[in-house]
Amino acid sequence: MSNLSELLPAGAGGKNVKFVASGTLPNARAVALKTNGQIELISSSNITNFIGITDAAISSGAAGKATIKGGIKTGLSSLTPNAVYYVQANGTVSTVSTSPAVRIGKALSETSINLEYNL
Amino acid sequence: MSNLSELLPSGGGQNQVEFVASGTLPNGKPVVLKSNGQVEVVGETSVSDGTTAYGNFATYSDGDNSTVYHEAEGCIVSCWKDQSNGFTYAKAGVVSANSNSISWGSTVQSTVSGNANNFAPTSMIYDPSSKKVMIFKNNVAFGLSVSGTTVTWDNNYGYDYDDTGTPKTAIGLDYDPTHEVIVITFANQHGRISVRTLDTSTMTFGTRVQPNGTVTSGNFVAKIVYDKNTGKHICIFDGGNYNTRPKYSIISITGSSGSNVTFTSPASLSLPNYSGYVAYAGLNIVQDPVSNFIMVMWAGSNDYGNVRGYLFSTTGITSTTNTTVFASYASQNFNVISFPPSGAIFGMWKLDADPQSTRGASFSGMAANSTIAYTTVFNVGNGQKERNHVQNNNIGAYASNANKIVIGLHNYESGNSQIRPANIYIVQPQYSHTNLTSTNLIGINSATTSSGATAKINTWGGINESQTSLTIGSDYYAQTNGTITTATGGQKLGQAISATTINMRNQP
Repeated sequence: MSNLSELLPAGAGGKNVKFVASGTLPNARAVALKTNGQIELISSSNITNFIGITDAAISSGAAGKATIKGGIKTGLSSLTPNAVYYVQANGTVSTVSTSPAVRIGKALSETSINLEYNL
Repeated sequence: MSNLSELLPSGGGQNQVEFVASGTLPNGKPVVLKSNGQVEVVGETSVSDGTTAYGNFATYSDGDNSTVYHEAEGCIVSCWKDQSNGFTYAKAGVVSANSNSISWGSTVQSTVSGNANNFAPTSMIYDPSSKKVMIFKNNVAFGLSVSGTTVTWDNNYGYDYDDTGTPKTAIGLDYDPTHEVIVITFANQHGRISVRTLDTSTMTFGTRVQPNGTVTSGNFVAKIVYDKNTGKHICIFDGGNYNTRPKYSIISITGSSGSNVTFTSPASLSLPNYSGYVAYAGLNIVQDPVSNFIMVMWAGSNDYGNVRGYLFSTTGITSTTNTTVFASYASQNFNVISFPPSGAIFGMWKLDADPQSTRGASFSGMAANSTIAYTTVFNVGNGQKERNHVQNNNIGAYASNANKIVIGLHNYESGNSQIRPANIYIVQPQYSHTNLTSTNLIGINSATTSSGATAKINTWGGINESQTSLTIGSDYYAQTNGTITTATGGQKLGQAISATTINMRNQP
């Protein structure tokens, strides 16, 4: 991985980190961290490895950014402010908490979510 | 709420904050925030055994010094048989100890005398319920009230006799935190254990039991310690004479008022190389504060000092450590004191070759089948002949306010053979301590920084890229020695998202 400080613009805000995609990753989709450092779409087998949400579509093998846990993901839509959101086994983000859903944070507005990282 | 994307600058940040470095900060190490606003690297400092300070009360003693820590007042209370009036009275005073100095309040003579030349404050214990210090001289109980640096003697609270009507010496004192009673072992051929509760003015006797009931000769010389692992009291006592192996019994305090005592049938305690000296202070016990092993210190063959740990259930011994032989010719006067900061114990004893002096060392490494480690044996005292008297269970106590052990000894070479200063020492057991607390971890240093220079710290919620050889996806923790590892015993920093990068969690 390249030096993150070179990738990050100055200023505070979200944690937008560059990763290599394993498989094609659409924009604004929840992704999991693989042991080789790449990211892939969430599925039932990797849901506990949720690391963040993509900031743009990324082709397989290409590098692209994701907002990771502890950051504020913007550019989403139709969120309910202050509602708790969960990542589902199919990679979508919703307020459904039924297992195996994993809590990822609270919506701050209709378009942004605070990706919690407290534990 | 407005659209946050309009409020936030483009791109992400790393919660990187500038601080002045206190000491050199290596790259990639966790740092703590100090009260002066500077940051320093997480680390441990090792302290060696030693005696750091001493002083003596302005009166003279005939020994028999006892010391306890008064938790409510945060001070040490010392008591000794005083030379006044033919040694028939005791005196007591408050010792205020900090990390490297001692001061003391006025000494006060007991209101009740003992027999001529025989007021030996046999043993003392702090009673958290009444917030008084209980002193047992022979079979008579006294109380000491403490306020600041002033002590006040209470009248005696009553007495106990053995089954022959003979006063016997209280030789073991223990506090039961569940029932808030003091458990007492008396020297008696049959053995006697009693409980007493104390309010501000009276003491109530509980039932008495005699674990050693069939023995008709010798003496019941017992040590007793509260086992926080089981909520019972472990009593270890001689088998009736000097040549039989010591026994143990597990003591239960029962009843709504804690006035009943029950015990398990005495069983022999396996002490390898046991030489027969269990009477008086030839054996002593304490609980290791971390492992919960009951640590026994005794004289083995050729009078070598031995230590071994026993882990108890409610019915018996479940595991032991190996036996460690730690010193030659240490046959008597063993005292063992819990030193919670190190998770270990500190032991003291009389050296046969130099019987008017006291030796000490720190013991650690208590685990099943382990061999106990100990530090270099050193002179406890200040280079003088400091005598560790035989009868007392508690010549020393852990003073949590000073984080040290405070002991009372008397100087054997000063004055004549009977009149010696009542000396107080601060003893420093060996241990390591860390500057990492549950609240002061602030982040990870992003580059090597000289002391006094400005450091850029990746704080909670940030990203640190200064690591090497991380396992991607694993959680990483700051350890008390300043390392960052996957061991869960430390404080969680975050998750590795590359071999060199930790995504730090938000402030816990």
